[in-house]
Amino acid sequence: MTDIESEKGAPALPPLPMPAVMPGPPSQDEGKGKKKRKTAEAAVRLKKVTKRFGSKTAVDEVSLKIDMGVVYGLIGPNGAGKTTTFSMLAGYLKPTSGSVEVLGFSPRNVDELRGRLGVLPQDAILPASDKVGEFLIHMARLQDIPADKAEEAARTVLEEVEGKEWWAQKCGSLSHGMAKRVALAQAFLGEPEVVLLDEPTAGLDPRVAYEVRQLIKVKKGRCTIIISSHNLQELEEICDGACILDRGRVVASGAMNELTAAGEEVRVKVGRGGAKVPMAQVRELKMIKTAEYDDEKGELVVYFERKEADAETVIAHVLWILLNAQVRISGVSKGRGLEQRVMDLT
Amino acid sequence: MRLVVGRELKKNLRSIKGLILLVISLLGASATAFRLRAIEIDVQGLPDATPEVIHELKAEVIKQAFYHDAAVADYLANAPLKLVLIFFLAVWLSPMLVTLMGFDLVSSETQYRTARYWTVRTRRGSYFFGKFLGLWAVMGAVTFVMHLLTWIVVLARGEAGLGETLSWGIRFWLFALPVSAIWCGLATFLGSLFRTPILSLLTICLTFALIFFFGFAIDAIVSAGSKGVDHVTWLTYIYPNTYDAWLASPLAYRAGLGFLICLGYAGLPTAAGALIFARRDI
Repeated sequence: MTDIESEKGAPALPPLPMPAVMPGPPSQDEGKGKKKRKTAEAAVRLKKVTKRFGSKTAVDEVSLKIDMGVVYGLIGPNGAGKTTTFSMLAGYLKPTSGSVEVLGFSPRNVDELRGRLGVLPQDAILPASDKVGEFLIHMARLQDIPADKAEEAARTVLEEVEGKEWWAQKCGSLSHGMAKRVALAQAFLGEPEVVLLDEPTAGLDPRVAYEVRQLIKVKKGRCTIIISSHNLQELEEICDGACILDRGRVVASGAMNELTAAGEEVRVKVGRGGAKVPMAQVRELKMIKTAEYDDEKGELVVYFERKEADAETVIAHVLWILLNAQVRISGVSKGRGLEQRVMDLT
Repeated sequence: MRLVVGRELKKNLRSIKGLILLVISLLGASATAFRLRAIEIDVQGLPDATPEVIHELKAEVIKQAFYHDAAVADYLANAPLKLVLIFFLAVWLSPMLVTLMGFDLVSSETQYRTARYWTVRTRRGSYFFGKFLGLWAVMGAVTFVMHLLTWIVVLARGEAGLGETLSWGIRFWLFALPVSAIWCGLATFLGSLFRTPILSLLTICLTFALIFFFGFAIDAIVSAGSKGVDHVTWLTYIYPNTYDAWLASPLAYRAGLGFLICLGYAGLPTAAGALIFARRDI
């Protein structure tokens, strides 16, 4: 628990049964003209979804709404219910109770979601005897991409994951990283409106993981992407919002800067051997609510009202005071960081 | 569904399993041709045998060895004997071939969750029926090879003309298809109940063996014609291979009924399997 929490005696972020709606681009249904489609109010909506396996409750009354066009993270420790939630979104698992909607339809309504929903399952093995090109063409054909355009679509996505030279290679002969990228390629096949990615960078070497993150960033805004991952830094970097799950329940959710309190606090790491932090001067700043200095950690935490100023303005003012006082600064960050937030909540 | 069927055909026919089955088909067809030679020598080698006598002898051989129904035996005696035998053999081997080709049809894709790639793109029912039809198509192709080889042998030995060979040959191949559809339906259904192919294989083998021996036993009881056997005759209908005699019957209504029963018998487990597959977690 941080100093300010002790002071105010309130949890950092109360569990939200329905997270805040985040702004996103307009529905991509518009102008597609393939068939008359129901315009989705949200990309994904879960209402009091529970999933039990025998006596074990994996997901417990989870409610969630994810707007169109955002990149959203499903976060939580092992056994938190991320993959179960993900699997219900993809239609692999049927909820025990509650309702799941993707683009306004049940995920099992394949006729309505064909080609509109792309999924990267975490542990699904590619068909070993299929060549990569054949597999992708088959996937393209299954989602109603015409025969004359299927190969082009397949080659395009394979090129996006930098795997065009694997076209004639059998899926069974691919390394883990290559197979992951082929699986990623099939998820983005045909420009789906919603893409679900389960642990997209797990098991990949740092370079490939970086490339996958870049690919997701490129796709950002063109579709809604929902990522289930353990890699919190990655999620913090990519996602607009997230939902933190623990033991099957939502413990926090919302926009990323809300979760990390990036719009409400600034942390300054103070190096050893410099001057003393002029706390009185810092507290005199009009835009801040309060400030705490932890001498042991060498960390100054400044809390401010987001209405009064943005984080960058607060950083500028605080650093000005510290530098004038010849305080040695070793790092500055907005908010607590997702990792810290998850640690606090789970 | 068409895409799933196409993929199954391509996958199976170029796989090692497909090649093994092709070899089995070749060996089966060759063995059949040699085995029958002796019977034919006995039948055709009779001194002063008129075509009527040969026909009667063939009908008797067919009645004793393959089909107990006199009308069916008489009708099939018009065909070259080799083709009758390959028809009988293709039907008899159906459960074994279907087991080999279809035990891992669905289970291999649920075990490693490969099915997750398809199920967001295709209705699970279509996927399941596509799997069934794919297996049936593969069976059709494998048995066609067996029939084709026998046609070639019959033609090469001058035992029948091209028209007669093709006319009977194609008919026999078509007669065998509805029966193999039943086995395919049962195998697809049973195999889909498990996530582990070996369990699917064991369950299919066990069930097929039970059906096979049950059919064999009932057939033996009914053939013996003992008193009070009439009320158990219906039990023969459980054994899928019963229907080859129906399909090969000269009576159109019986052949038609046989076809419809095969269709229903194949459709029932497939539909049940599709329903279960559509509702389950994968």
